[in-house]
Amino acid sequence: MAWLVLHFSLIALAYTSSIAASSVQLRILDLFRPYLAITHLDSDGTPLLFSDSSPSEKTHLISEATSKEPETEDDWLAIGQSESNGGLMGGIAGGDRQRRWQRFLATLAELGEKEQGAMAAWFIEPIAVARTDVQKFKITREPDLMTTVVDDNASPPYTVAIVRQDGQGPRLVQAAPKRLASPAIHIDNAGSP
Amino acid sequence: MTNSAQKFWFADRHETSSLRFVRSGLSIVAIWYFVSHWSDINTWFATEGILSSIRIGGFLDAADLTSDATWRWSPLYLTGSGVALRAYLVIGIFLAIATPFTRSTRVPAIMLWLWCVWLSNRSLMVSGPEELVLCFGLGYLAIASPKDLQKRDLVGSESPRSLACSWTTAFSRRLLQVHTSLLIGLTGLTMLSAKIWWDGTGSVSVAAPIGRRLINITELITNPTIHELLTHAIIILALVSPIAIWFNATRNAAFFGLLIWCLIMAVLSSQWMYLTTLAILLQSFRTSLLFSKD
Repeated sequence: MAWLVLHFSLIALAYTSSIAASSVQLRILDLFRPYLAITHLDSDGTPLLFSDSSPSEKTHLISEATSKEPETEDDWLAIGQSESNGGLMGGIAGGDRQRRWQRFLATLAELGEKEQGAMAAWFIEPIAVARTDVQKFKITREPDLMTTVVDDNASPPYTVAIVRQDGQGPRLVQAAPKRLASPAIHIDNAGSP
Repeated sequence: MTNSAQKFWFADRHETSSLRFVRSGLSIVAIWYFVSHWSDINTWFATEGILSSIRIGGFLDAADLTSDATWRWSPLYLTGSGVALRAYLVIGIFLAIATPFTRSTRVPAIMLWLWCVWLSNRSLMVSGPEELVLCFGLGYLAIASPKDLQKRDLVGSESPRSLACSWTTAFSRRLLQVHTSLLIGLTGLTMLSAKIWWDGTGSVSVAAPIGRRLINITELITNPTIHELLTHAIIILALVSPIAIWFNATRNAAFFGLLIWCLIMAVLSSQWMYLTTLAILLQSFRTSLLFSKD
C-alpha cells in the first residue's frame, strides 16, 4: 500500500512539475528519477495542459537559403513542406511525424532566443552537412489566430549562417537576434514625455 | 493493508471484457506508434542522424543536463545502424500483434511495454504525451494475467466463483483506472495555471497553431460564444469527471463526459494518438458502470 501511495504521489509531482516546480518538488523528483525515468512514467517536462499560449506552441518552420545574404522572403525555402521537397513531415503518419519535428524545432527556437546558438548548432549541423549548397538556415514561427501583428513581425528566433571551409565540416554562426528598438524620447523634469 | 484498501485494489474480479478491449486497443496504438517512426527513425537516431547518440551526449554535456538524462535508459543509444533501428520497429509491431493473442505467458506483453519505453526514452526532445500514456498503459496491462483476458465475462452469468479472474488482473485494472483519472484531473489543474483557460480563449489557443488537421473547425470556434463555452466545458469536464467517475451515481455521466472530452481535445489539438490512447484507457472504467453490480 505504501508503494502505491508513493507511486501515485510521485506521478502527481512529476506531472505538475512542468508548470513551475518548487525546489522541494525538484529534490524529490531527483531522488526518484531512476524509477520515473527508466519506466518513462514522468512527463519529461511535457506540460499536460495542451496550451498556455506560449511561443513554443506555435507552428515552427525551418527554411534554408542558398544565398549568403538573402534579401527577401523569396530567397528562403521552407524545408519539409512537401514530399518532393525533402519530405520531412508528410507521408506515413504525417501528423505524428510533424509533431515530433515541431517539438524539435521549438526546442531549437528556444535555444536560439536564449542566445544558446552553439547548443542548437549541435542539431542543425547534420542538416547542414546533408545540404551542401545551403548558406543559411532560419527557424520562424507561423502566424495564427492567437498571434498579434507584433508577434507576426518579430525577427526569427534562430538564424544561423554556415561557414564552409575546404576539408573541414561546416561551422555554424548564429545571427544575433534583432532587438525591439524605440526612438529616444525626451523626458522632462516633471517625468512625462 | 486495511480490508477496504485490499478490496479496492484486488477484489473486483468478475469482469474482464473491458481489459480485453484496453489490451487490443493499446496494441493497435502501439502498432501505430512504431509505424509512425518508420520514415524518420534513421533521420533522427542513426549514426549520422540529427539526434544520434554522440550528438545527444555532446549536447547534454555542454548543457550540463547529463544527470537529468542518465536514467532515461534505452538500448537504442547503443546502436546507430539504420537496419537495427528498423528491425527494432518491426519487432515492436510483431510484439503488438502477438500480445492480444497470447494466453499462456506475460512475456509478449512485458516485451511490448519495454519496447515502447525504450523507444520513448530514446526519443529525447521529440517525445510527447502519447508516449506517456502508452507506456503506463502497457506497463499496468502487463501485470494482468493473459489467461484472464481470454475469458468470457462472469458478470450476469451463473459462473462458479472458481472462474473469477486473478488478483493481478483486478490490480491491473485498478492501476489503469487510478492513473488515468489522475492524469486527466491533473491536466485540468495545470490548465488553471494559464490565463487562456480562464478568459475563454483556451480552445482557440489549442486549435490555432495546427496547420494540417483531420477535421477543420477553426472557422466555427472563432465565434466568441462558442469558443468560450467550449473552453469552460473543457475545464469543468477535466476537473469534475475524474472525481465523479468514482461514484456510482455519477459514473456513467462522467465516463461519457470524458469520452466526449477526449474527442473534443483530439479535434482541437489534432493529438489523435494521445487522445485515442486516453479514450482506450478510460474503457477500464466500463466494467463497473455498464455492468454495475452495486
